Amino acid sequence: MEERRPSLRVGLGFLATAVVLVVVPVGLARAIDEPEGFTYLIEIPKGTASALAAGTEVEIFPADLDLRLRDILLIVNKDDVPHTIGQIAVGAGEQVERTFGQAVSISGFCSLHTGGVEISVG
Amino acid sequence: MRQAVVMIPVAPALYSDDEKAVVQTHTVRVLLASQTSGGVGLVATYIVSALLAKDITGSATLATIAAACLSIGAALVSVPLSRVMAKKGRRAGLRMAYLVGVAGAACAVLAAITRNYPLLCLGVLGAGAGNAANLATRYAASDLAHEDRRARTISIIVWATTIGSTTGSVASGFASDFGNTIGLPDKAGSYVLSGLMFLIAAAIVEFFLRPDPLVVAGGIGQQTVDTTQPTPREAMHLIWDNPSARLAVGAMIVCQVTMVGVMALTPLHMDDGGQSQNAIGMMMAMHIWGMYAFSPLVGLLTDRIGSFPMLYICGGLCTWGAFWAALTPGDAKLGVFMGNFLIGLGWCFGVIAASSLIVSLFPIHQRVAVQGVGDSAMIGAGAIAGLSSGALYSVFDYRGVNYANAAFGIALISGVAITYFAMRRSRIADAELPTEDDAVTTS
Repeated sequence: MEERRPSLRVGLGFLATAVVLVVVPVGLARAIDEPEGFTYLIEIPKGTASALAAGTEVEIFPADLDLRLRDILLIVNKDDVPHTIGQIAVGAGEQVERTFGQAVSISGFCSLHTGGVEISVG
Repeated sequence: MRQAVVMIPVAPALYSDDEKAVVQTHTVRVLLASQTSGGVGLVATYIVSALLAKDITGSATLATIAAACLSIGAALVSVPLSRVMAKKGRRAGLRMAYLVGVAGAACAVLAAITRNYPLLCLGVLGAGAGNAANLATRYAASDLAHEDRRARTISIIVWATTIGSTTGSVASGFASDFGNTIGLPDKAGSYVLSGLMFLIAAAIVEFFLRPDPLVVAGGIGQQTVDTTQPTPREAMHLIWDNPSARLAVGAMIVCQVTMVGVMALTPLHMDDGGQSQNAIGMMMAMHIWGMYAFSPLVGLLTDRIGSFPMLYICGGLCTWGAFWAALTPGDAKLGVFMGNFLIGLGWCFGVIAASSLIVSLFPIHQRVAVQGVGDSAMIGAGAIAGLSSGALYSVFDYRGVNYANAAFGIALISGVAITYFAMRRSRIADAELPTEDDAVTTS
């Protein structure tokens, strides 16, 4: 009633496939050296908030930012007051570094642009 | 149209009833193991596909398409899979589909490494073959099942999916983390797990599904009888020409469309209502619980009271669940929780009763082709529902889509009633026809 069992060779084939399934992707992931991201520096000068309050037009960076994956956004706030750029809050005299490892779209309030800011990463 | 050859095998039985019973017990155990393994593979792919696609593209629409590729792949593979099984047996078919799933998962790993969206979709399509194999397993288990235990056997295989789904959900996160530690990019580890689990399922089938249940049942391999399998087109006609088969496939389509639609949209509805991720997770758990947890009981009931009453209840549950969900605002819990639970339960009733009905309607050598066409229709309809759900949600809102789901449920209830009364009328008419003896007596 029992059918003939598959040969040892078939078993080894399954085993070899399992090894390939793990080893090849790991080797490939290490071989493909992901390019380093580009660092975008946004420096908010001292007195920016006062200038904005006085109605002066301030152009530090565009309201639409297009970044690529693994790019780094470095925001240095030299102003006396905290600033917020699309959900990224930076305290007075502080700096924030954000690396984007995933495609994402951040939009929202920006203390430097009255119409808000949109950061697209892809 | 070339008609399918319908002949009942009359060759001397190669296996005695006792031997068949032994083979059946062994077959169910083997298929439970392969189904659990394949279930882990399936869920490991399902969980990360939309997330990885969103990471790569940043688009929610493209993410939905990538996730739907799992169903599209399964729908595309179901018919060729049934053809392979019809020619070479259940083992060859299931092994082939699981191995295509392995290739698909490997493709998806490469897509995660190279961050290539089309390659990811291709990989998920391939992994869909594993999904098709998982679905075909319930029929493989029913080949040798005694007709009094057929639905129960199918339900045990459906229930095994719960183990796979639960384990897969947990293991997927661990696999992704482990992948990161050995140098794989984010989420690639989950696809490696998926590929390995499909491979294990293929190995289980290859090594242990012996003898092949379809051969033992007489579906293939008997030289003395005509076991010509219908082509997919002929299988479609066979379904269409048989009101009960039409009802069974229709019921599976209704269940799948309602289930996929509500499963895709309820998280959005709850999110719009300001509910937490935990609440959304609990709702999904209720839905999946409804789909699988009671399946052995549903199988038992189907064997006891028959498929028609169960399909009637299935329509009722889908309608009730869809109405309850439709009338619940996004910030409320009870309605969406119970609505999703009832629709999940309706799916369970529908799939088990309809599968059992399909098995009972056709002779063994026609079954495999008919099952392939039925599954393809069911999964294909689900894929369309999944793909269109986002657009429908934005046009008709959650309430509108669920009213449509409720209408599908009502259509199923009507379909069951119409088919039942039409068959009853036909039986009465057959019984009233004069026999040859009557004619002789009257003359």
